[in-house]
Amino acid sequence: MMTGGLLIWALHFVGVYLISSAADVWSSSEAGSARWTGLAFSIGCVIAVIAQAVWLGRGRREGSGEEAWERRVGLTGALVGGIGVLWQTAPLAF
Amino acid sequence: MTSETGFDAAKYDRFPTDDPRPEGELEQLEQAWCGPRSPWEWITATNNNIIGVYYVGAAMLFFVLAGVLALLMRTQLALPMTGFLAQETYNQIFTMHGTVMMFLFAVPAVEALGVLLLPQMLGARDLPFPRLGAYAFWAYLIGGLAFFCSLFFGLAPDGGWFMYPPLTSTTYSPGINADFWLLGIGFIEISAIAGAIEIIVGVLKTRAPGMTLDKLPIFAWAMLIFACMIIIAFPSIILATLLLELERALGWPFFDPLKGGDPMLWQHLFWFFGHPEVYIIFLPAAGAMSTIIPAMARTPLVGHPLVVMAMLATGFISFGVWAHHMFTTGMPQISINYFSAASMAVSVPAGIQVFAWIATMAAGRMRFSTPGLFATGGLVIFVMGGLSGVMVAMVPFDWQAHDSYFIVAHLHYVLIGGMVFPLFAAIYYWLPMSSARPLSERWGRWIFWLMFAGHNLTFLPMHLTGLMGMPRRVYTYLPDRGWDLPNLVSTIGAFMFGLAVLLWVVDMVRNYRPFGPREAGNIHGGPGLEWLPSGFYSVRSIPVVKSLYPLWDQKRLARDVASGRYFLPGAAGGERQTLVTSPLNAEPQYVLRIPRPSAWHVFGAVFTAGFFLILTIQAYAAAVVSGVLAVYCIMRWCWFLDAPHARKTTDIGASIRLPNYVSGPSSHGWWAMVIVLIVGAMVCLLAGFSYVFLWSRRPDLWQTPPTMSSLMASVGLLVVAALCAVAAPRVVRMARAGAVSAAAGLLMLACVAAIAASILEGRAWWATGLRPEASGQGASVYALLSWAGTFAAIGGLMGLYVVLRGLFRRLAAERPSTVDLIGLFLAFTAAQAIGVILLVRLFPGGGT
Repeated sequence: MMTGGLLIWALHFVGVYLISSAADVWSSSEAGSARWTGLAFSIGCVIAVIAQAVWLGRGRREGSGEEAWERRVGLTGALVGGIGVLWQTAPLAF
Repeated sequence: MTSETGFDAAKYDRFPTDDPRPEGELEQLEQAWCGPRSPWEWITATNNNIIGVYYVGAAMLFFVLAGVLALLMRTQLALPMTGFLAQETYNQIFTMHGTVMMFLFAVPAVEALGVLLLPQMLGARDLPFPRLGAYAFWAYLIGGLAFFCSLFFGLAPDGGWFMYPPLTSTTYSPGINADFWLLGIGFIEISAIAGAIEIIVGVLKTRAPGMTLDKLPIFAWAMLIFACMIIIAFPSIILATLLLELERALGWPFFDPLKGGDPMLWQHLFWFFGHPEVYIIFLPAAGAMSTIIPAMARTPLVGHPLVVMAMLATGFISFGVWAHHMFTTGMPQISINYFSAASMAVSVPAGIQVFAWIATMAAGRMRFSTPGLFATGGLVIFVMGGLSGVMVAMVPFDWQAHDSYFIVAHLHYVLIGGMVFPLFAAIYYWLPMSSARPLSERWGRWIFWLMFAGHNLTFLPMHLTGLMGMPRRVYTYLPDRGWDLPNLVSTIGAFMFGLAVLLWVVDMVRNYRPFGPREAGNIHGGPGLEWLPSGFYSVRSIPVVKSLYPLWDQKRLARDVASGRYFLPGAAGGERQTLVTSPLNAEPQYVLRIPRPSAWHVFGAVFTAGFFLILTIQAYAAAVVSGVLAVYCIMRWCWFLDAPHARKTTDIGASIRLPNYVSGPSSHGWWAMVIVLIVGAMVCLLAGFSYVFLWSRRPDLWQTPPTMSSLMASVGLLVVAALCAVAAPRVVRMARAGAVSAAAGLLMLACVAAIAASILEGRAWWATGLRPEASGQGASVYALLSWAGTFAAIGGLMGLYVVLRGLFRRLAAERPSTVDLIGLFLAFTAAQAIGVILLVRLFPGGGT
């Protein structure tokens, strides 16, 4: 719960790096197919981060103080993770 | 709050208890936790109060030694064309300076701080594996001193602290200097991982009841993330050093492009460890800052949940920036862009922490006594280093500044501001707790200002010398290039820094004098449990924690704890005990018997360090003897584990009884084993990455794997091994005669099957004509198989150990932990070997 958004951020980084590295072996990391694959993967990660944030946000007012605190940490983590995913998708545009 | 364990949280309301404590209870507790009474007992001691002080002291000794090396370098560079140091000596000195600072000072220092502070902070009597902590310390101290002494024989490594091949290959580094680095830091890796296991299990399993995650001290959060990062990052350097040593000793060409290797593989593996290492060092220091600043400002940390999230985020993203050290190596542009973006993104969580500290200072009334000064000074320096970090995260700028003195300036601003100043703040803040005597405030102010001015005088001009083109690691330079004045200023600054450290050493010696009053108390008004009255047993009774700042919010806590009105106020049966709690809600689960000191872990550490160091000088027979003795000592140490208990339960206070023994996922041993296996899995995963990476460099050199029929035999044997390993813990729990023997037999069978599969697979590859020294494929296939085979061999030793325990009647159905843990290890061994075999057989394909 606390690290979901950050995990998605890390997964996104590994994913786009692997996609570009694999493309570099078989053709070129600059190839259009690699960029589109990277973009599709990034959109998937953004959706996952949003879903995580919505799930955490809905349950924010429920549960004890400890659980609310964990949700708050998870929610801010999802926010930072989301910004990270978007930021790391930017290189695909150049 | 949903219970994790079924423990009724309403029982916390029974505390503090009202009934008078039994006569002699405190005396029994003091007797059980008595300190050393002879010089030998000071060596075999395991208590965190003693080992923690040793550990911090040893780390600071290496800080001073590496600092002396820095002064030698600065003397050489003070003026152009000086001959103070010979070129070869200079190379050894800058390599040792970086290596000692990073491996022998920075990581051990923060780990040491954890060992010293965490039990008191968490309300535990000690960390859960005190002998492991002591073993880690002695291996580190003995190995570290021997490693440092290589300098006096001209045998010190000289390839730079990141030891890039081909410079460090036998062609360009033919002596044993590079081997000293590769094997010499082996014991440091072991020591760091042992410490990390201790810290993870300690933070997750030995917290005071009620200390839920939102009440976990921020320093403990930082240490938890730090230790998890060690578990993920250090396997990479373990693998890298293994591969380079295999290339140097046996000619396996992992990094030789002529035979299908690639020096870039080293850079990937090294920096996958090396960059997180910076955050590994920074996070505990940041945790200390987040503890000290609120205490000095007398106000809660602003944005506490955000700071926790920022530390978690730093931990995650630090593994996504390793290649920003490799922008000039010709990686694909898009990959460089990803790493550049990630490197800039790291500034977000770092910025959150910095703003939280500034806001806390602004919200409270900051006291600028020595800890406050060091915390503030560290903040200023770290921000300056962070800003130049954002500059070098930009690829075009990095191309210009790479390997210049600009980078030297940047890394010292980050490391000194992010770790050294916070460490000094921590020493000044917590020393009254540890030695019961504060350091001199007047001297402290002098030391701070000398250090702050010295640091800036040393490293600020280096930005300019770098931008003016001075490369790092040159032993001298020509006059009239504009580098003379900034170098002279840097040298003057370095000696000011050195003077500050010298004054601090003198003050520390004064502080630890064996006479004079020792009753400092909580002089900073700190809010954490570590400021409760304590002895070698830590706190008299383990409190119920109801606040993030218990000493500020639970007014009578110190008095009630000292009166024994909380959990475990005595030492039942004269045993050393602590409470084991659940990882999330810290609900009491069982009473852990803490082992008493013995010599086996010390001997084990001596022979472990000896094994690596003797291997360096290529005295193989002596190294094997040392290795065997190390294994023997460790097995003797383990022999006394999992021993029977005189009582099944213990009254921990207020008529609450807890079991003295549990097994399975609730037990601390199970957690430690899982962490060890994660380390093994990480090494294996990275070895798999190396295999795929080398294939991607030269696929034309790769030959077809052995036939599928041999694959079936190897995998079949491993499946049998896994099934036996999984079945053994179930069998031992059967209340039938012979169940224990049957479980031991199953484990032995699992070992035999795993070893047989390893031999079979090795023979199948050998029969194809593939040799490890022939190509990158050969080297990486045999490296992977050797890794899997090593686990099988260790499993064999464990099988033997189980049989011996069975013969000596030290196995029992009611104490299944030994069988559980060895079964877990063997199941992992089999699964890992299956993964390895399938990878090398099926990727990139072509088998028949």
